[in-house]
Order: sequence, then structure tokens, then C-alpha cells
Amino acid sequence: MEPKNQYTQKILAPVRRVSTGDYLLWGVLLALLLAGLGAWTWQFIEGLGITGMNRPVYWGVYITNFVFFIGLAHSGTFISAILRIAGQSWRAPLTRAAEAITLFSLPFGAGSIIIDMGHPERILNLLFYGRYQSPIMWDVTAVSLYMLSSIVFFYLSLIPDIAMCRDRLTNVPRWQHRMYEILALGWNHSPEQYHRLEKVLDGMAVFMTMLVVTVHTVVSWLFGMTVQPGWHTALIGPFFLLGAILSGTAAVVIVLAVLRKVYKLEKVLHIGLFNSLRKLLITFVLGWFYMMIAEHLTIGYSSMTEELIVLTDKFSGTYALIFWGMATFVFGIPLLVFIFKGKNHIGWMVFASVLINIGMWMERYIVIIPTEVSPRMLPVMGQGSYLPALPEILITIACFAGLILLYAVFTRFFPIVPIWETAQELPGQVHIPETSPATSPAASD
Amino acid sequence: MDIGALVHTFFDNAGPGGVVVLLVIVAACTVYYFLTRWIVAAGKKNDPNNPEEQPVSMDA
Repeated sequence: MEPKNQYTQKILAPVRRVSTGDYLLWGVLLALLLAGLGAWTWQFIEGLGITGMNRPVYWGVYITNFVFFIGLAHSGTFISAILRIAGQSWRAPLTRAAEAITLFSLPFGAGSIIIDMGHPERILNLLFYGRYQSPIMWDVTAVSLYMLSSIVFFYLSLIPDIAMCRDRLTNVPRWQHRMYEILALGWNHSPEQYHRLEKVLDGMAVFMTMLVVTVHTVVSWLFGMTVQPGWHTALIGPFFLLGAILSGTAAVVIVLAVLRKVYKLEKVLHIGLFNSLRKLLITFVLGWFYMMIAEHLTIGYSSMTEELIVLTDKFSGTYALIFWGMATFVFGIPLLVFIFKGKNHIGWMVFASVLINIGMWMERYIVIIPTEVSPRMLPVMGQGSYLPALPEILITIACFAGLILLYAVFTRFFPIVPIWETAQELPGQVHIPETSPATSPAASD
Repeated sequence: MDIGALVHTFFDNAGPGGVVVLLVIVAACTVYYFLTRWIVAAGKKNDPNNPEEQPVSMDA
């Protein structure tokens, strides 16, 4: 007997058909993705010389994208794993939407490193000649394990719903039904299966929480372990981590609002969820701001010449516009919006969340480029300059298009709201989520 | 046995890093494979196949 959920039909409705509008959207996104692929081929043939990177600017927007997408990927783990451990049952309707962001942004994060290498086959050098002296090896280990664990975590919680698609969606194309049969692994909704699944997901949530901290700390150490101005600080780990969780949670708000509107899931993805996320976002915005002050204060207090060059460049020099723009987008406007306008207003929440993500991309850029342009050994290395070139811009657009494409396609073949996790009753037990989908806004705020 | 020298060799030499990455990934794959099997296998013990409990097709 499958779980009893009054919204099963509503949740499965988007899975039943692919509209002309979908094909149109997929076509546009695919075209952008192909344009990026073309730019990558161009770069592969001509070499990294066609990018804006030069000596001493070895890292450009590819590494910016790498840090940004890995950060975005923290949304799923945060919502699913950390809130699962904390026993926050209100998160149930949005877990899959959040985990899907993780799953689909990780390949573009990890892929950005490979694109930055110029020749992708150079990744094999890590396997044949890798030494643990280098932070890149720590990064490869952490990101690979995180990607694998995220896929498993996501798939395990999807199995019962795939089984429901297999049993209920009998009128879909034959290949699609066959896909459900294979992916469901013979799931038959027995109480013992659910018991074991919950047990494993609980255990994995602890492991995933450890991974989420490790991954972004290790990503920050790629910077921190180089003795470069602005990077060589112990605060860079928590600063990166908090930024990642902030941008990931903001991305969840954007995705939920779109899903709710496009797939008419207003009753399932109710306003109470947005109000709960709003409170989390206020906390993260304040935490991020504190970390930003702590980071720049400790660096500035040292008054070391090479540190001050980079700091001045950010505060009042070449990068001042991006720096203060970033601070306004991530902290100033969102905080005001969340406090004064966000409650019960999804439009305002989305507006602030979009600003946060634009700001967080700028933040990744501002962490990397000013330091690269004015490295520690400035008299030897020389003053650099950097502006992204056409291939970098095309590849960056392609990465975002690819992420949206994967997400859009996924939501047309699999239920984006977990049916069994939001069910009123699971086989063999009565399971009523504390925050049921019909909860009123006031109840959870 | 000089453990310090062993650790030093591990960190300083080209090669062991790649082996460690592969070992971690293979170990994780193995654990996840058996966990998935263990979860799914619970349903095979008492597969009811009860016609009364079959869900109603949405497309029928």
C-alpha cells in the first residue's frame, strides 16, 4: 500500500505531460548550452590565450563560477540534511526542490575547474601524479565524494515516488514507464522499506552535514593556502561556507516560487514555507555581513603593504563599484526587504533572493580578481589586469543555462515535491508532518 | 619503522594522492550500493501483491 497523501494527484500533474512551451524553453536553453560548448571547443583549439586570463591573473570567471556553483550546491544539503537532523519537519515539501539544485549545480561547479585547465585530459595528471601536499587534491577528494553522496541521498529519497510514478502513470510513453520500472528497483511500499529508508537517510544526513562543511572549507583553502593578499586567512573557510549556505537558500526561494507558479502548487508549496525561509535568510544575511567585517577588519588591521593594495582596490579603487554593489545586493537591500516586505510576499522574497545570488557571484569575483591583479610578489610578477573575454562569457551563460535546463527537464519527469515525505500516512504507521502542506501562513511564522 | 618518514613520503611524492582519491570513491560506491540493496530488499520479504492494495492509475 502506497503512502496516503491528499496532494498526490496535484504533485504528479506536471509529470504527466510535456507542453509546447516546455520544448521551446528547452530549445532555447539547449542553444545557449551549445554556444558554450562551441566556445569551449574554440578555447580547446586556440588555448587559454583567447580568454581574459594572463600573467599574473591565472584565475578568472571560471574559478568564480566554480566557487559560486559549489556554493549554490549547498542548498540541498542544508535544507535536507541539516534541517533533517534538527527535526524541522516543515522542510519536507521543499527538500527535493533544494536537493535538485545541489545535484544539477555540482557538475557545473566541478566542470568549471576542468574548463579552467584548458585541456580536460589534464585532470588525469591528478590521478597519476597527485600528491596530498596540494590543496587541489583535497578539493578533488571532497567534491567527488560530495557529488557521489548527493546523488545517492537524492536518489534514495526519490525511489518511493518513482515507484508511485510507475504504478500510477500508465499512460506515459513506453520508454518513460520502463525508466520508472528500472529506477524504482522493485519498490513495493512495504513498511519495512520505509523504516530502513528513514534510518539510512537519517544516518546519511549526519555524514552529509560533515561533508557540506568540509567541501566549502576545502574550496576556500584553494585560496587560503596560497600566501596571497586577501586569501591567507583562517577566516576564509567559515566566510565561504556561510556565503554558500546563504546563496543556496536564496536559490531555493527562487526555485520554489517558480515551481509554485508554473506548476500551480500553491497549496503544497504554501506561503508558510517562504516565511520560514525568510527567517533563515535574515539570520544568514546578518551572519555573512559579520564575517565580511571580520575578514576585512583583520586583514586591514595588519597594515601590511601588499594586503592594503588589494583592500584599497576593493574599497575605493578599480573594484569599488563591484565591492559596494555586492555589499548592497547581498546585505543592504535583502535585509530591508526581508524585514519590512518579505513576510507573506513571495514576489519580494524572490526579488531579494535574486539580488543575493547576483551579489554572491560578484562576491566570488571580488575575492579572486583583485588579489590576482595585485599578487604578493608585485615587483616580480608585475601589475595585472583582467576582463572576461567572449569565450568566458559564453561558457558562463552556458553553465547557467545548463543548470536551468537540467532542472526544467527533471521536473517534467519526476515529482518535484516528495509525495511520501509529505504524506499524512505512511504504510505501517501514521505519519503526519508537523507542518502539513495546508498550513496557514500565520501558523509557521 | 619511521612513521614520520612514511607520512612525509605520502605527502611529498607524486602518485599516492590519486590512489587515495580512487580508494575513497570506490569505498563510498561500495557502501552506498549495499545500503541501497539493504533498503530495497526489505520489500522482497513480504511482497503482498494484493489486488486490493494496487493504486489507481491516474491516466486510466
